[in-house]
Amino acid sequence: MIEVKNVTKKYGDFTAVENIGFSVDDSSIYGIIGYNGAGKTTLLKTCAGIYKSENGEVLLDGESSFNSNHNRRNLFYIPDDLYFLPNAALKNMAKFYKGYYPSFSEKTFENLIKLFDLDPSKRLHGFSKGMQRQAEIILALSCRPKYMLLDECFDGLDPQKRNISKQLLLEYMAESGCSMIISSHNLSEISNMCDHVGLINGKKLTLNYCIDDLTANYKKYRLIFEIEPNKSLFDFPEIKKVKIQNNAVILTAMGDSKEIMNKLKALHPVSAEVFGMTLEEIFLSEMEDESYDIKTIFEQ
Amino acid sequence: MTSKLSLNNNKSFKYDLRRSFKTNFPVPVLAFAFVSLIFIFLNFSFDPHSLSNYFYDDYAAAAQSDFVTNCRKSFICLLAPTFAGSGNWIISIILTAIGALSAITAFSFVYKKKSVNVYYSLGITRGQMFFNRTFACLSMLTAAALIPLLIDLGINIYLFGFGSTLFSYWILLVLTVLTNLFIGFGFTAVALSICGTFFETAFTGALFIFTPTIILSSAQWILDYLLKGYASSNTFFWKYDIEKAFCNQNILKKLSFLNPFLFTDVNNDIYNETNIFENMFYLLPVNADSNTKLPALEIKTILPVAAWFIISILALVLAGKLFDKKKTENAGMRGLNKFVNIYLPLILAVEISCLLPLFVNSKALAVILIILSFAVIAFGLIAIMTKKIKGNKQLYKITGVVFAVFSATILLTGFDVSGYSKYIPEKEEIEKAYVAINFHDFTLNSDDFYVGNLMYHNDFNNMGPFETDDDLSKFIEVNQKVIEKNNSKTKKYVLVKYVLKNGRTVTRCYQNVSAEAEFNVLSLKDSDYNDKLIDTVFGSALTKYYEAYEKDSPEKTVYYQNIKINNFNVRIFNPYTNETIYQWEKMDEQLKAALKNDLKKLSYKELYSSEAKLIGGFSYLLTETLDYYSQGFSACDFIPVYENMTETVKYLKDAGIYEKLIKSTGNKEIKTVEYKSYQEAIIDYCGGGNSIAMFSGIITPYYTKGTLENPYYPIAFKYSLNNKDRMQAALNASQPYYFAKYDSEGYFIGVTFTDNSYSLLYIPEKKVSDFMKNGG
Repeated sequence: MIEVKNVTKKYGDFTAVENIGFSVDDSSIYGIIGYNGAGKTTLLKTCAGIYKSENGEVLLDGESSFNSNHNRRNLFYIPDDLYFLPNAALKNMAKFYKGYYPSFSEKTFENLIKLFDLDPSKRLHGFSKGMQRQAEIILALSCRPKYMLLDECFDGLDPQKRNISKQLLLEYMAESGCSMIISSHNLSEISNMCDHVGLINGKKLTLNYCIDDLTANYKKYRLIFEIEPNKSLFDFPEIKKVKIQNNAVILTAMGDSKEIMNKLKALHPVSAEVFGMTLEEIFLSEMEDESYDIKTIFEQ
Repeated sequence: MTSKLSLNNNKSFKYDLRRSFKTNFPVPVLAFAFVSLIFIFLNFSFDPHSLSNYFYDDYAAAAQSDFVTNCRKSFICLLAPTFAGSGNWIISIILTAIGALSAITAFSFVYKKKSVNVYYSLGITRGQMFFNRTFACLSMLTAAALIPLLIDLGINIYLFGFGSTLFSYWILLVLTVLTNLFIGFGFTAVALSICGTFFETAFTGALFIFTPTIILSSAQWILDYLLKGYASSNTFFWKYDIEKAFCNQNILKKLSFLNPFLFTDVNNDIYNETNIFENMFYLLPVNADSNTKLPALEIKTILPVAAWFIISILALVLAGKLFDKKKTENAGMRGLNKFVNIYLPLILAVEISCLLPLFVNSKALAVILIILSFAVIAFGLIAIMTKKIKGNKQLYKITGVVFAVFSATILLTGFDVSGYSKYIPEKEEIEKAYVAINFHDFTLNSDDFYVGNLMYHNDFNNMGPFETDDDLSKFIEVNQKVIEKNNSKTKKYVLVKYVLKNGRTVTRCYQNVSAEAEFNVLSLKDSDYNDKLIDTVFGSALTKYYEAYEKDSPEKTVYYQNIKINNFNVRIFNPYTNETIYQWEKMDEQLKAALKNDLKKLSYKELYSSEAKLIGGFSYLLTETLDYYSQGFSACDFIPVYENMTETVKYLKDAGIYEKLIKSTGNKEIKTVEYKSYQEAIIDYCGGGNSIAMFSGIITPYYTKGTLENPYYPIAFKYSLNNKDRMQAALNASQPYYFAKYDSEGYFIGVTFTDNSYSLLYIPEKKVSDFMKNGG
């Protein structure tokens, strides 16, 4: 189990992430989403013990992940920027990790090489970006870690390898009880793989839900009124966003859709409809801000 | 579960340790090559002949001799000849650089974000990671140094046998080499634990190591160039005797134990202010006297090395602690450590700003430049390091405080607020006093030809000790006059040194002293001290040459005058033509007494600026060298005879020499006289440079080659005189050329007599007739 407890990480005077907390059970995958620079990588590096948080801590089955050598030995971090030893081939890297990961499995390594069809004797720096990703996934899974941290780990993979990788990770999780944290911009990937999701916005974790609960409870409502309604009418705790266009009102709300619909119908709209939302729609809804009017950008 | 986990931890730790050994061996290999080169191969190459004697055929014969027996007894060794002498710091720097390189390569992963991600996510602690790399590197470096040094020890044991002294020196040598390597590793490790980039680490590490050198040398520069009255050993470093007798010891040398490159420079009883390994070098069979023994190591010799070894270990401990707390997010980014951001600018500001006085002549300008440059460099570098001008309040605040302290120090030093340059101890406090002046300011002389000075030798001459009450009163008066007159535009120096009754010494160097005040220093000739010297020179023969060699000048010089007067041939000659009038095998006792009394009676003005006619001169004939220790001392080769030296003149008259002398100096018929302005001649000859060599260059060829048969004038004379009266007038006004003054005007004249003999003479400005000035 990975527990992230009120973690705050600063770079000098700049706060990258603030007071973030969540936990990842065994046999569970936690997805972190957020726009570029939101602090996803910082959070993962803090979880991996690379960075020391200013406040809070990350626990791996109760032991701090920073500067420890017990449970962290079962942690594998796949960074966004991959690193291989100078002039190393896949087999050299396997030897390297075998020394540091006592649970490294030669058999798994061989099986995975066959599956991905990579030459273990070729220099990794001569590999394409996608092949390097595959190599890193092979190495990570061969180490048979109990905790995995994956930062944009599917970037550069072709659809087939991407699919294989996902399946491998899911299979490995099911087989070993591994706890994983994945950061990605690909929301469909997160929604397919993860059972929990956290959204980092404005340095803080603004959403932290089980994906099933999120998609079941996060809905969009469309109401038509006879006259344009006042915005204060929709001041319910469940309602996240309100958009009024003449007589039409579009709402996003989180909660039991029946209860919310009952509350809305009490406002006597002409019509009221409820729609399901994808994770991407939820993400965009959460991140929606006073955005620029794109049309005005290129005006001379 | 726990035990399995521990086992796994142990495995990873061991793997990391093995890997640390495997990946970090190239630098120790380099260390091995360097230590082997320095301590084994160069030992054989510095004097292969002497070594081959011991190794091969001659060894057996040599081994029978007392000399080798004594060497063996003394455990004289070849341990570190290359570590001897003033260049040893280069070896120390290279060893330190190897240590630093080892640290940089062992921890190279900390400078790249990509590698940091991998290494710091591995399942070993930072402490373990640091320990493994440090242990691997240092143990390999130790082995790399130890193997050649063991071979070195083996050679020494083979040559001279084993002994505790030899072994203790070897231990010290090992400790010294390891300390250099460890300092390099330790301080670089501290730097890499707080810096983000390779260059920042290398630069910061180097600055850490060089900090003592920078601080000490900066302080030295400030004192040398700003503190009025400070007798800098840098200014006179080329004059060993002057440095030793008068100047403040170089701070860098004095506090060498604070310097990681010079900590082996400690005082030793055999050779003062020298390097412990230099002693070993001088005690090598080829160099040593058989009576000389290598002394047992003293605690003061071992202490600096041991202290620096401990410091290097403490640096490693500190580095380990800092490495544990290292902010890995700084990898590949500079200027993110507050300490480095302020340390680097301040140290560099001190170093660079204190160098500036070297390039300006004015002290006031130097003070302004130092303070301004410190501010620009310190504040500018902070802005560059932190990549911003605003928002560094704390850094600027600290820098401001340092700047204020630095500026105050510079101002206080530069404007002599403490009155350092004007201080003269009370007479009651003084035990003895010494003074030194540049004798070239009074007479022109070459390295081989000195004019009538019993107490001077060499071109910068020292006098002392003045000890009697009268002498000290006079000395203080002379000193006060020098202080009052040290603002002229001359380049004249006067150095004084007081040894106080409480054991303290006070040394001062007065620059820009007026010619009058400098000449007044010579009034100290009329002293008890000078009478004592004259008594010694003309006293009964001294024989213990070796003891004289051990003494400092002027005592040593006086001692050799006595040796020469009592042993060498003496001649009296015509100072204008160099013609020998009479020669004694040894100086006659009556003549000695006459000269002694006359020289005592002559005032300093009568001796150095005499109005009386110079009628002759005494000199020695250096037909042989008495022994090794009397080499190179030929001062006082000319004792002048003036008309007013009554006892000497009487002796010469009684001996029938006077008539011949007068005839020789006064009655020769002149054929031609050529002349040229003295300063013009100097300019022609060496571009007008004001160096001592210039005078030697002009005079030495004449003196050595210029015989009566084959005159040698390096001077191309500009004018000639044809009128007989004028020629005689010029001759009458002239003196021997060696009376030319260092920086005054006058004329060189080349005289050809009717018997075709030649002479180079000098007419001082005040005696030059108008017809010469006008080219007539």
